Amino acid sequence: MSARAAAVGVLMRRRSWRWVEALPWVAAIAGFFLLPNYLQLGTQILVMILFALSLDLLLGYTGIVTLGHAAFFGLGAYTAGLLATGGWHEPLSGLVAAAAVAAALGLVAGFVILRTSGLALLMLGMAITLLLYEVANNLNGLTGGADGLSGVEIAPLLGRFGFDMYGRTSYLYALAVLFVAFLLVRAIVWAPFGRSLVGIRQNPARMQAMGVSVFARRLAVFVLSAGLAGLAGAVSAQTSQFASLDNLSFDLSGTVLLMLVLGGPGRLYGGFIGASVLMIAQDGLAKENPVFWLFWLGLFVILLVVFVPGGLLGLRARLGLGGRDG
Amino acid sequence: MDDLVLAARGLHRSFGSLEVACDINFALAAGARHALIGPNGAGKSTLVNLLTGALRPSAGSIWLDGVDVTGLAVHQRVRRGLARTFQINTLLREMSVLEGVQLAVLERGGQGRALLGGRAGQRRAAEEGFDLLEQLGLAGDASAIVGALAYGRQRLVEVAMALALRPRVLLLDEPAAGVPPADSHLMLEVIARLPAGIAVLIIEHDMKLVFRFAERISVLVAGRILTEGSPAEIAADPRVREVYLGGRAHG
Ligand SMILES: Nc1ncnc2c1ncn2[C@@H]1O[C@H](COP(=O)(O)OP(=O)(O)OP(=O)(O)O)[C@@H](O)[C@H]1O
Ligand SMILES: [Mg+2]
Repeated sequence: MSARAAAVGVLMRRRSWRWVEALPWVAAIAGFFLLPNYLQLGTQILVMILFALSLDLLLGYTGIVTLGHAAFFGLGAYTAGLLATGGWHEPLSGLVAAAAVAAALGLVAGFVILRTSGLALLMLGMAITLLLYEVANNLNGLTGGADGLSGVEIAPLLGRFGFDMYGRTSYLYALAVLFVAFLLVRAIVWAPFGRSLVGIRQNPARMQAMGVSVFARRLAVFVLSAGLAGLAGAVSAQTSQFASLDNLSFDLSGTVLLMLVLGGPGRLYGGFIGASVLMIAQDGLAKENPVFWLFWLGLFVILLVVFVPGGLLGLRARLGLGGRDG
Repeated sequence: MDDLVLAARGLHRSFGSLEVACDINFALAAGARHALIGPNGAGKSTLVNLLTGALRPSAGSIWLDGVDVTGLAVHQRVRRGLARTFQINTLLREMSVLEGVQLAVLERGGQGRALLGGRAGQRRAAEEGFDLLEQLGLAGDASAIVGALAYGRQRLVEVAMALALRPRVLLLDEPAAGVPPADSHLMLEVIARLPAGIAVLIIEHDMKLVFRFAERISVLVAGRILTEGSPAEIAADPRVREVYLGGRAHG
């Protein structure tokens, strides 16, 4: 084989699926059969993985640090919830509507906040979250205010699979949405567009010198990411049949960021690991002693960030078991 | 000025009270080999930034192929055929050399916006990129991570990224700066073999390189073009000798 074919082959093969990529899905399906009492927790984990995946496009791939991503999650949750309480109970169209509304906010918000960078960008993202939070809080009659939006009734999926009290439909529904979204995101990050995002993260000036409108690319990925976050919020509202102000909180923005950084940003699977580890540990440990749990979590995160900047998946790469995606 | 691929008319720019560009008039014809010399801090990089759009002039205009591009952004000028290299490496340090060049080829073809798929285009771009690296003597480094390369090699990658865009005008900002003497012949060869159709403006302190390469030379001093002429005229100009050539050796 010529040197050219070899070098091009190395580059092109990175797009191909590897066997280990089946692992999270096998684990998720195994969990469905082996842990029937934990399907509700499992569904929440799947939602957070999807949310973290949306953030990974921004943070991990494009290098946009934001603490305002809950705005889009919450907007998606309330959109799906309000559609249902308003009489539209079909779940899939609810998902699409929620993602579209969140993406539309992403377009408007991105247009403003992506003109800034660093601290200003961080503050503007938080300001938008704050704004939505107060709107949801004050529209008592519509959103239930601080009590949250309850009575979200969802019709059977595809007209056949009702959302049962054991959470089986919910779990599989969340898993299916995550899987489809993941396929989409995976295809995007390896396509030329996704590669250009990685280029922007590494050096915006260089991408500009290649003829790229860095602002347009950033805006495009912001809209995409906002739509996916809205999708996650919608799945959350539909499966828990509830939306609340927590869905629009700083706390949630921080949690999803923590999960992604813990798992490893820019690798597609960081959210899978971060969300699972954090939520399972929380479920197990926090019941015993919440304060103690937070102490150890804090210590763990500090050690991780200082010693393994690439998160848990970075640890894997450091041990020589695989590298970063780009 | 229709036969000029790049022209600047009456450019002005200041940083606070420091005038770094003052009434700069300047033009490149197709295939030109032009050098811009001048002492440190004369405003050479600033002029490149004005031409590419990284800086806005406070007065004056910039023309590409007879079109006024003064109001266009950096990336829009690149898409019209204006490429540059940076005095300080501005590279995609975590990518392989080949991937960086591949991205440049894809962007040149407008394929970088492809949200999905694009596999065939990526393969073609990588193949073209490899051929280019081969021409520049970089084929052996194709799969190496840019940030891990020796500085001299990274300078060559700068040139490769620009050439991947198949520009009509190429601005080289001190391409050989920082290259260890043992490797500098590589850069000299690459510069000597640049495609004839490209109009090249090179900023360089190495007078041997300048006089070997340039057909015309402009001398910039304190934001003003002191003089412009053939290498022989510049070498004989007493003012140039005074401010530059005859002064203390350049650092
Ligand atoms: N962004 C900026 N803000 C303020 N001053 C600047 C800026 N960029 C450059 N300068 C100043 O403008 C002057 C010209 O700088 P420039 O980089 O264009 O010089 P140069 O001719 O390229 O020098 P060198 O040979 O050292 O590369 C210098 O005094 C520099 O300090
Ligand atoms: Mg300079």
